[in-house]
Amino acid sequence: MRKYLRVFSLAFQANLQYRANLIGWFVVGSLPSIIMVVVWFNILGNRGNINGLTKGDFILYYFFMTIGWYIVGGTYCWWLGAWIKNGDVNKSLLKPFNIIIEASIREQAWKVTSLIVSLPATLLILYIFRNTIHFSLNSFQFLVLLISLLLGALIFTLLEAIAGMSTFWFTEVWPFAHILDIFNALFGGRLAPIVLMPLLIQNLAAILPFKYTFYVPASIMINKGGFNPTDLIIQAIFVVFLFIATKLIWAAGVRRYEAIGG
Amino acid sequence: MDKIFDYIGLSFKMEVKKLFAYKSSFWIVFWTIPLWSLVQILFIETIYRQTGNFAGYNRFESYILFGTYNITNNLAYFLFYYRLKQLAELIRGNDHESLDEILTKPIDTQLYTTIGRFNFGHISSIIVGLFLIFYGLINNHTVIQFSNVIGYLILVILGIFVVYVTFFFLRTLIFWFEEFLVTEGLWDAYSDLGKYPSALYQGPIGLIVNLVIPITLMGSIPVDLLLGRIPGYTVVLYIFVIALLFVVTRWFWKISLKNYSSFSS
Repeated sequence: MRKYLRVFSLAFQANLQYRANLIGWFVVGSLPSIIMVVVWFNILGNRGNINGLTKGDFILYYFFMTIGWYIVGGTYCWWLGAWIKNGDVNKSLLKPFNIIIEASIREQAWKVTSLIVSLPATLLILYIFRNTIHFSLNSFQFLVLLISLLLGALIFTLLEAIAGMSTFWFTEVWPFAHILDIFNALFGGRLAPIVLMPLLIQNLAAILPFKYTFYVPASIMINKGGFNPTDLIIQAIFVVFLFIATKLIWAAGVRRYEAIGG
Repeated sequence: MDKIFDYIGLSFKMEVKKLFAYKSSFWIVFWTIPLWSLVQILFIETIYRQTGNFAGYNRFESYILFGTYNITNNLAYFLFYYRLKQLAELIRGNDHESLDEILTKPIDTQLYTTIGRFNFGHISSIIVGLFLIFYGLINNHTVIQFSNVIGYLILVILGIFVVYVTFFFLRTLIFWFEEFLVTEGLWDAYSDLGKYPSALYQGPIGLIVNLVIPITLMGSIPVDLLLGRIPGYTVVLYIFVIALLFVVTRWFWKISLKNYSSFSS
């Protein structure tokens, strides 16, 4: 465990060296959410709500999609893919050191640093829209939200690991990273609340894991439909299922791996 | 001038050869990139499930808008994105070439470092864009004037120039902040604004997005002209704006080159 804490500490310090990039990434992450809020405000016009979602809900929803990225999201499949391609994965095969955990830990360090850097802007947004957004969770709902965020982050991490491990079979990781991004946009609710999407997307989202990364925690935070314990159970099932899948794919990938480079 | 055309011609030939050597890379881009169009199409459908008019556009006009954006964006990717992306590596120096070496060549440095890599995989997205425009036009039953088509095509070309100058400006920042890795992301985020109607942006933001750095030239402004919503002289206005942006970014590039301290080699 100490070795991974060391990885986290080093990555955290390295990230702090390049604060301008972190602020830049926050802007990059915020801009699509701001556009989406503007789009939905335009559609709302003089209407009070769309499918029960008010102006405040849209702000809160896309605000979560920006900040939630630093809790649930990440893009470490690129690193993992590059390490497999370059042969850096060899160290994971010879030492008691898991390269997937290392990549994931590095990503967590980036996320924590970004979250800290973006805190002033976050507080400012919350202050500006204090009269529009209504954050009304009791302590039990808040606990449910935290559990859902954790499970969502685990699902996302395992999906990223699977995308990264595709490099055992294919030379490029980016097509899989792109497909993952597309699925997250459509079925994860990052593009629009799933309840507003066409019925086909809603039905597909219900059986795929992507909805349980961002959309379910966002729904709990907006607190419109009431608490549905089934969502947490499905999240837990997906974590177990994806964990087993990750283990099996890793084993199959290592059997195929020829350790070129490194 | 001949040298520039020779360089572009030879680069094009080389990329065609690469295309045949690495067919799988081409096919991956060819099939993967258009999937993003699917996301936007589903978003258009999501919007028009809730309203019949979005920022002055009906459903089919939105298809024309997104098709135009798709063409402009992918032509930009096809023509210069990958070369401009390399600029950071050129400044830092890599195994193949460095800016130090390029500066000694008897050719315009800006052109040499920003043009010369063509990614044919984006052709599929351009085809998707064309399909969306025709789908929108046929179903919208709009009578299009020939002069508007000419104006539309000129504005689309200007839209490609906007993409060039904005990305070029952001990449030039690397001269000043060599670890500023976020420029690609910033450009992606800014160019995303081009896929929505210009009327969506109001006030100072609208002024920036529609006039100062008119990223809506990637879609909305050409479509407005095509549909006869804005006057033909708009083309002249935007030629002037783009020429000004080109001069400013060229000037910034020259200043940055003077500041360049050759830290790569």
